[in-house]
Amino acid sequence: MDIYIFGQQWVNGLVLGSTYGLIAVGYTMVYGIIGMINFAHGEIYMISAYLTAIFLALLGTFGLQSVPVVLVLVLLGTVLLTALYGWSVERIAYRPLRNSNRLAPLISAIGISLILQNYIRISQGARNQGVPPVIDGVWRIPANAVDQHFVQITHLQSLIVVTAFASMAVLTWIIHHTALGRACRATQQDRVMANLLGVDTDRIISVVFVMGAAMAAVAGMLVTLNYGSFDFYIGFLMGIKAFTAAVLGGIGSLPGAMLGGVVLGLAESFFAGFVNSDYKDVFAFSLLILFLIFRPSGFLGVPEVEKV
Amino acid sequence: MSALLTVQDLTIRFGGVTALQQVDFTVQAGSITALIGPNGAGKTTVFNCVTGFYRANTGSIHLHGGANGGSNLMALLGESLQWSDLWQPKRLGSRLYHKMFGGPHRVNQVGVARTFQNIRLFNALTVMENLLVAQHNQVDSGLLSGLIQSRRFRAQEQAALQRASAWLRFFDLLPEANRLAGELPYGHQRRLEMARALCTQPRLLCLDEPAAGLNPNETKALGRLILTLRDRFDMTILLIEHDMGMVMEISDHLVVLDHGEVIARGTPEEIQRDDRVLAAYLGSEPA
Repeated sequence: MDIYIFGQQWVNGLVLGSTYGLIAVGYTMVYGIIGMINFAHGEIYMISAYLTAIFLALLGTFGLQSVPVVLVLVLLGTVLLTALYGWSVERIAYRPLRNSNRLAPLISAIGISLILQNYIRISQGARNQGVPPVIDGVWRIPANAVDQHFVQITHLQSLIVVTAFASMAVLTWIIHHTALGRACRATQQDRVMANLLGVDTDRIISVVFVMGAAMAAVAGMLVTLNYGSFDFYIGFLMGIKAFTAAVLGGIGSLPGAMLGGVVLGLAESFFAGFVNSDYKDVFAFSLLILFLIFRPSGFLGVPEVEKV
Repeated sequence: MSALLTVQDLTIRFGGVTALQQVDFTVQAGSITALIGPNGAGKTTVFNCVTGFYRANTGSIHLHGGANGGSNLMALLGESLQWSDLWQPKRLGSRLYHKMFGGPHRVNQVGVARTFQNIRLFNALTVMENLLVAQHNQVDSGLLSGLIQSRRFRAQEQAALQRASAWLRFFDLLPEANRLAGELPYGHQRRLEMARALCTQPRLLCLDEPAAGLNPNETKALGRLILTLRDRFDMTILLIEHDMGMVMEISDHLVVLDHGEVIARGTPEEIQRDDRVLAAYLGSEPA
């Protein structure tokens, strides 16, 4: 086995996995707080890809040249607008169904996901869209390699990994060290009790949706810059993959989402690199099935104990 | 003495069952009022209505005094709109506002806190965090101020920590401050739940069977604690309790419920002599 190909799969897997992890955070937080799978989350990610392209084009027409400034502005704009989408989805599709049975918001989620897909298809067209590469440049290890004997890391890939882990760190810090995060954790454990103690739980739930959407927006922007192409349907596969990551890590657990994402990304890229790249999705979902059968609580989830 | 809580004509139905039928009572400020009655009489349902957990069908619940000079607790939960609201824009506005932003948290914010018969702590949070969550409205909970740890946020957080420590000391739980609430022994969990309710700075504290599961010594200590809350902290307490020894010893006023109706009110002495109360408890027909 070629050590460089082996190393390259580590790099690819880590990059892929950290974006899965970022999106998985949205699933896991929403599941933790209201116990539902937000199937519209993949579409939120898809919308953020379009917003990234729109902001890039907008800043381009203003003639902004400095790459770091452009990236920061695009990131801010995309995160803010995507968060607004996340907030609206919760307000319109889930809050009115808050006290109905568990199936109702699930169906509503599928509905809103179809609506968002078609809204983008109609407003932006069904064709593949693209953005020009903003950052190029690669590192090669070893630097003076010949032929195929090197591991290649693009600057963008390293930016993806760093940004993903930084956003996760910020999010974890918010959850553990602010009054808002404390209220989130309390609401997650007992929504009714938190409400009776004066916490406006509807607001907390909105905040969770907003934070999940913001993380998906970071992922959407990074992936769009990396691959350069997207269409109105990318949210589906990415959403299901991230959901798999959330289950792998233990749904409801924040570090679990990131761990599950990285594990899934690595598993997928090793399978693609050494076994068969056509069947990498099959492999990923087989993992999901295996976990659901043998370890439904995932890596870091706590198994639910029924009290007698 | 003036009334702190007035409950009038409170009726609530679940399907065909009328759980409460025109319940009327008042709680005087600074008193200990106990709600007693046989099992299934509707005591906990009254509690659930007062604390905003249930929405009653008819009747009114008023909490008097406070910063805004009294609140209609039922309105805070969000009432349904009526045609007559159309020509009363002010009422329409307030109803719309409460429909959008109302809920049990508003009832807590005007000064009603409660504990549960089966303890409901945040088991995976520490004892201290449980008390800090209860002070959510006293701490700046904005995302930005928390993220940059603004001076205001840190000052308020410090004040909240001090209030929490004071109550922990009062309930003799200070050494446990950093343990997870779920791993405390049962008796400590009961006291922690009271401390948490008190951290919301209530004017009316509702205790649902605080002595359930305690041994006679612990019950006695709890009774003294409740008296101290009234005397030293001017707390008004509404209590559900089955331990008649404790109820008769500490309450100023009793309200007896049976089958969802108030059958007697009065001082402990009056209640002990009341024929209808005896009948409700012992099962004989009143003469």
